[in-house]
Amino acid sequence: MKKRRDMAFSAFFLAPALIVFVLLIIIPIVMTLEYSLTSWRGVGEMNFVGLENYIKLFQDRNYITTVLNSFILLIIGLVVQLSFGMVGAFLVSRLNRGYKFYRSVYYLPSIISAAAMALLFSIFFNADMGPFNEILSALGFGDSIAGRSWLSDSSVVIYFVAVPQIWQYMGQQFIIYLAAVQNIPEELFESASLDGASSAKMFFKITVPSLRPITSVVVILIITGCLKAFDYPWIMTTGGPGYSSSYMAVMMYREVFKNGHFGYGSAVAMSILFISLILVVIYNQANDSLGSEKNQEKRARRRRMKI
Amino acid sequence: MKSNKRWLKWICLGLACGMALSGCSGNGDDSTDSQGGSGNLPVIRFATNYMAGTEQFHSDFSEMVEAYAASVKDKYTVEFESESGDNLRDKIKTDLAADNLPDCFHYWTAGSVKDMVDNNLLLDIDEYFAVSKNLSRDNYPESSLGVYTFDGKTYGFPIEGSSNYMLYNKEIFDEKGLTPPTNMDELLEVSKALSADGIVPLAVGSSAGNPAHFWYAAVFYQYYTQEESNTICGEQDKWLGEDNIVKTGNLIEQMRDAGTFPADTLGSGDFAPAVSMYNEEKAAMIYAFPWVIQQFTDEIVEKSEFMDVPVMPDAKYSTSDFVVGGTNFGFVVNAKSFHDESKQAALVDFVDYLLGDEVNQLVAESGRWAVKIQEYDESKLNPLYVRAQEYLDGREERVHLWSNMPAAASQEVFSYAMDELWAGSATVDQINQDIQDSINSDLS
Amino acid sequence: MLNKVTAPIGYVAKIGKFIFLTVFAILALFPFYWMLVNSFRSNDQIYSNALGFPEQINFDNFVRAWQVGNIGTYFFNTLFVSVVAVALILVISAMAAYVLAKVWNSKVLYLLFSLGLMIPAHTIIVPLFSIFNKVGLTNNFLSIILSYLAMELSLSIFILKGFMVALPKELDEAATIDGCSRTGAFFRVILPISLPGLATVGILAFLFCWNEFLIPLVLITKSEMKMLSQGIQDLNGQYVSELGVMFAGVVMMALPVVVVYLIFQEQVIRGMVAGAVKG
Repeated sequence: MKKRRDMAFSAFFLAPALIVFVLLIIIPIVMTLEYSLTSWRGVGEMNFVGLENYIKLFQDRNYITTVLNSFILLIIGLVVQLSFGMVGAFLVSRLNRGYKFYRSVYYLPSIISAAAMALLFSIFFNADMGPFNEILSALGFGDSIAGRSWLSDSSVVIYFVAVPQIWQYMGQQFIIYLAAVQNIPEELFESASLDGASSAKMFFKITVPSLRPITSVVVILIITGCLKAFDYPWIMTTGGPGYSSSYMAVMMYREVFKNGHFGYGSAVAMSILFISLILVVIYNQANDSLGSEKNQEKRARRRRMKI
Repeated sequence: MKSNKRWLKWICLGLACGMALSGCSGNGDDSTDSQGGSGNLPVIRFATNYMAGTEQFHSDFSEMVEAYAASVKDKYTVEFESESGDNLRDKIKTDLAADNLPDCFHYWTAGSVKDMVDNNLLLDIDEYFAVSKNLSRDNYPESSLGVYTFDGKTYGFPIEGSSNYMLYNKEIFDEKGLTPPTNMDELLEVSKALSADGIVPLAVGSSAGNPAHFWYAAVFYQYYTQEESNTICGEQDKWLGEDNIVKTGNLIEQMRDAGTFPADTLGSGDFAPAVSMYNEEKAAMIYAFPWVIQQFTDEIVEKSEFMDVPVMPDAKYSTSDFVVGGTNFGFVVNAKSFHDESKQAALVDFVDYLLGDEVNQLVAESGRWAVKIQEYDESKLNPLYVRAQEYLDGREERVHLWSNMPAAASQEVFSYAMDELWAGSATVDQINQDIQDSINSDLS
Repeated sequence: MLNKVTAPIGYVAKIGKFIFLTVFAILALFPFYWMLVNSFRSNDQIYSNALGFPEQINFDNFVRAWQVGNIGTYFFNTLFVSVVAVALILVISAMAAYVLAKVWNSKVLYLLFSLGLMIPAHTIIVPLFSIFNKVGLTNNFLSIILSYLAMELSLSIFILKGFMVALPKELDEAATIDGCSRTGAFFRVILPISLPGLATVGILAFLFCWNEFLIPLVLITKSEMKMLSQGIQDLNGQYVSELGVMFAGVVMMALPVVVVYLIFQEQVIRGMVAGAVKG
């Protein structure tokens, strides 16, 4: 009886989300998949070419560059946003004063549209008229560093496009963690400090493990967000010089909207989807297998702390 | 508990109202598919980038055209679809892919319209001239019409030329005791002297190819004629292996190494930073275009003089004989809309106005190089524009290479190759190979 | 029981924490501050002196941005669309997240919804436009609202599921024992407890709707119906960028969001307190 009621309930509650999602996300994805199997140029006939676009993709050195760039962004993102998110949430949640202040301030950058922020940074890093190099020489760096044109230098431009983006969205992971951290029962911390544990110990032994479920959410958000990133390189450098600051989504945009290669560009788009999917699945598997071990450890530790 | 339920009720109520309202407001305005605003009046969808933006031109144009649309609203309705700058291109491409092309729109030329022409989407303008009340083929120079001509038929109305000109800041040169360079050696010397003093010699960077590709063409055409250029860009396997093209690339590299261009070629690329740098007297020379004429300050115009592009080593053609330019913006009409009998009269009436003398005068006043042959009220034109026209009078036009590329993809590859050349992130051979590959691919 | 002496270590830790928090606060604030300062400067000032202060304080840039960017009209359009979209997103995604978290943890559905996270907007924009075009919904707020709903669903369901999974099972068990149906339990117990999660999702969704640029660019071309982000784009001209004006426009565009965020912050606190009282 309960099962039947549960099924009806599930259907009723899932229906609106599923309907909208299938109509406006799944069907367009399928259509994009369709385009990726053709050599369509946006107008005229769609000639079916099978997997030809995908084969060309893996031999395209520009594509490889964009994949590498996306992964650079991903790694920087994971390292910086996870650590700042957790540490920041831990510290801010335990503040007596200034809680509201820090909570607002850290989130402020993500409120501005990415396009506007990217424009700001493109001026900031401009070697001819931006403040960045001025600041560098004021700090004492010689001309070989303070005189470099960061955005025109294909070997480093990717970092100057990636770091601002990661910086702007640090606050987003931070508030997710902040909300989650509030749900950790206070008794755990009280008993830990009675035991004489330092802040660092409390952070690593209590906070981090308790945040595991929400961390899986955050990691997946970072993975998917980084792999589909577009705005920053587009505004700052249009992905140039060449493709040295392009991510996969930038290449997709250039192929579809600039070169008119709808078929090839759609293949790039589908590759973003596939790679994200693979990474998410791998992460979930790794998470699950670690999970059972970690839970046992946590329970053991808690028992020890209560003594 | 109770307060939460009340909360919920308000949310639901709000949602219901919201959805109802949004449906209403949309349907009220949405007459794209329906017959028209009131009754059965034809609807003309007009897309343009002349209405959105910060220039005086944009507000003047909007005012003028909207007033006209209001004056004819009992005969037909005009739906304005306005985007700014290059966003128009993206919008039209999306419309194209969704089979939803507007009835008439402003657009770029040559390679940019090739796909539409190949699929018979654009109107042959001779058909238009047959029914137009005030426009005829004689209003347009044949060379301008050339950029819209494929297989002997013309599919668009040229509006803007892109004649390039070079300015230098007299005051800066006098202060430093320098004279404007007339050849490559002098250019390199002047560059070294100026950049040692922290001044950018020539405000030409490269961001998505702008404005670099124009400068590239200014060097290129010292070695090639228009016909040769057409062959090189229009046939397979003609680009690679051309010694003078390699030479052009090498010359650019030399200029770059001597500090001729801004240090941050990518960051300071594109039109706006170049103009601002020149206005602020941070750059001594600038290679400029009609559409930026209005952006120069009065002070800088006072201090500026025209000059010719420096002569390159072993150049075959003198830079004072030609001007890099070419018509690169115009107006096209949707063939299907024209052949729709219920719409034709309205469409012709509106387009006659849009391309007519009054509106075109406005185009000229904005500093844009209006190519249409008509009477222009000289007193209202920008003085720099008039000076430029005088300076470039009588020179032969050379179509800049971007426009000469066979299709959109090779245009893009060429633009990005310029970025790499300017930034030094690829060798001349590499970029020439890329350009050749994309030309071949577009022509196959 | 261990009795460590923590005083000296504690002091160092305190300084370390303070430095950490302050450095990041400065990093977070500086560009925002710079943008605000620049919104009072003219284009030439910005180009000539990167780090300088405004030569005069006037609101010229703001006035110009308001006029040219048509900010008044676009503001209301964007507000309307964002509020309706966010309300829909919250309700619909909470419903779906609850099912996935507590009733039927279908990995398949979970992965399906995750697909929405993995595709950039630019990928589906052409098919999406095609679909709306065929049903005659271009230049209609409904298409924008539905698009935003579809695109934010993945993120919202994702985050809310993460929150709801952490809620103790006893909560809905107790509610259903008391005679509530599952639906009742959802609206009376789960939703209120999930307020922190809902607030978080609400803020993220509102930001997305407020700042989104590509979707309205393609779906709305009538001037009266455009969104704020399109207006700001118009300020960034092709041949000259009046940066000061653009920054002024961006500042005006960001202000309402700051207000919304501050409001939602209070909700979060209230939710927190309620949670603490309940135990």
